[in-house]
Amino acid sequence: MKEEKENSIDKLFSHGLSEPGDDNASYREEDWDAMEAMLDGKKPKGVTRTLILLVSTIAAMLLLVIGWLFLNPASKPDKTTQVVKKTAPVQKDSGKYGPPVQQLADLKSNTLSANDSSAMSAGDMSRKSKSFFTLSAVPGGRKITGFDTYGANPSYITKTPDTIVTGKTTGNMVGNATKHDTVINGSTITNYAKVDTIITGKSAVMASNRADTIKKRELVSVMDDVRPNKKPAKSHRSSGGSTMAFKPTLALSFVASPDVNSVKGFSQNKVGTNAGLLLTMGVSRKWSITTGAIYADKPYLTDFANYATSYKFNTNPQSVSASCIVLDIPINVGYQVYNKGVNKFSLGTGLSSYFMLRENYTFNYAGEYPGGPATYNIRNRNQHIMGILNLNVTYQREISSKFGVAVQPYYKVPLTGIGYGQVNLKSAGVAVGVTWNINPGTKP
Amino acid sequence: MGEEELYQLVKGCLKDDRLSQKLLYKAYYGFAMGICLRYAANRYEASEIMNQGFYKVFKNLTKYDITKPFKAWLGRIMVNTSIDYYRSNLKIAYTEELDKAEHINDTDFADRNLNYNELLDMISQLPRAYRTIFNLFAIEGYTHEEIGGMLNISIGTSKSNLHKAREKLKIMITESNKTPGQTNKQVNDNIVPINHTKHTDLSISFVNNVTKR
Repeated sequence: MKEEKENSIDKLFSHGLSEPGDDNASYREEDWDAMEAMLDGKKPKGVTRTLILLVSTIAAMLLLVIGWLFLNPASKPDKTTQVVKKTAPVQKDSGKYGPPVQQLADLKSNTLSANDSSAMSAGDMSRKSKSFFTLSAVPGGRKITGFDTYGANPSYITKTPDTIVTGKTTGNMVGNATKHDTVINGSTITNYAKVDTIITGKSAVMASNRADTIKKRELVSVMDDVRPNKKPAKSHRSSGGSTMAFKPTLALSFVASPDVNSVKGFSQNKVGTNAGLLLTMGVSRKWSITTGAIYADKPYLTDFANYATSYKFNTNPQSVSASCIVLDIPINVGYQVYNKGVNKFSLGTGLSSYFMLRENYTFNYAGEYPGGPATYNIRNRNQHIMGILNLNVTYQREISSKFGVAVQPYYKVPLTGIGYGQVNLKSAGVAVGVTWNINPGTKP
Repeated sequence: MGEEELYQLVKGCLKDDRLSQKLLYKAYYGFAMGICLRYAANRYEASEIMNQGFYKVFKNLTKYDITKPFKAWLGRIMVNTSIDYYRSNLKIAYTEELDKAEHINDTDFADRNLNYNELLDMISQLPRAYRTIFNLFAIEGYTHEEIGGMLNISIGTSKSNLHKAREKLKIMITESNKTPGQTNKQVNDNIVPINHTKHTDLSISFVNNVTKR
């Protein structure tokens, strides 16, 4: 009897709980999200690993370039030293406006002039203080410390150099040397620059020198050294005898663009948006390499015929609307076809990797009551490494030595099926960007 | 779901096709959740168990014999996952007073008009050990020998826990008749946690019960 009663309670629960209630057992999307995260357990790590690898590679490249630039300044210092050595004896032949030799000797310890270069090469000095003259032996190309000896070649002299004396000023010469002006000395003699210096001493000293072997000489202040300038570069080229090595340039760009995405032709277009950071490294005067990361929203609409799935729909949808969030990692090569003044044109091509961060598909059916799923959402499921061909044309205009703006029409053609639906997703757009020249590279 | 459709979904799942996985998940969600809810203390826990179960399903789908009913295979996995979950939550030990159970008159409970939610509410109020054994014995139909093997307990412990589970359920049913809507308050009050923490989900350790005896 007791057993029957116990059975009755078992039966009550067994029968009562056989069919779950609608409230508790009805499908909830968040449960599937958790399920999907569980299934993708290793996938996000994979993406993270890839991104870490990419960032590390970019960082390593940056380090290499910066390291190379700062630790190996090519042949410049040697030439500088060579010319400085030439200037030393010249100063003894103090010219018309040159300082007396005796005075030079007195002021040697605290005078900021090219004379000090006799003790320390201008190259060394410029590297250490980054504030005073630097010198280059390259005609028309590099900086020369001090001035020509007036009278030795009078035809070059049209104006006497000015000297600003701050007699009461005392202190560290390097510290004070940050104050100086540069004036290109007249239009007729373009190869001369007058340098005004603030000298911490009893009197002003006009540093002058003579480079006998150089027929065309150029005096450029340190200020020019830190300013990229294309015009002197041209004169440098025109003067001939350029032996200067190319220095890689480095520029960081922020780009944003609207683009149209289409699967077949451009009849069914949807406009997407892109934004990202790009790093461009100039590897030669004409060639550059660009990489970076672009976060893109790529919506598209396509006929179901263009959409591939292993799932068998009871009733095939008519079309598929998609909204994909993509991380685009491009590696492009650029070739500069035009470079005049502040305007540059270049052509570029390369490959992009798409990391499909999110893919949302909506299936559009003909009838009101679909016989299949209405939506399908996945995350971090597909990656297309080097799966997209990039073609672009870039117009860049320099605003200043450090900053520029760029407009880049581009076209992206997939080499593989994109996303879950393996669609032939093409994108065309115009990117607008701001470029910061981290290292402008080659200087005159 | 038709056999052909199920076959297509299974085929898609075997290819790791996410859409097929989702559709299979959706199709058997209610069934799987119904099982897991009985073993879980709440819905959140149930969905956690269910997802663990589905994960096993997707990862072991190659082992599924297509000639046999899928529902039975899936149900077995859900029950086993619930047991795994129970095992992993054995650490928290509670004792319980069952004095009141002695005073419940034996009546026929089968004809009580209690809906699914009321019954689920009662069963979820049971301590985890009682709930698991009651589910396995009364609903799944396992014997005490099988339950002992599954939960790594003695047959006697299984029997005694089943008895206690029934007694508690009787109290709850009786109480529900007296004060509808406050079914299990008194029952809950009977459970005294050892560590004095206020957990809504109370498990009873078999070890403790054995020691008490």
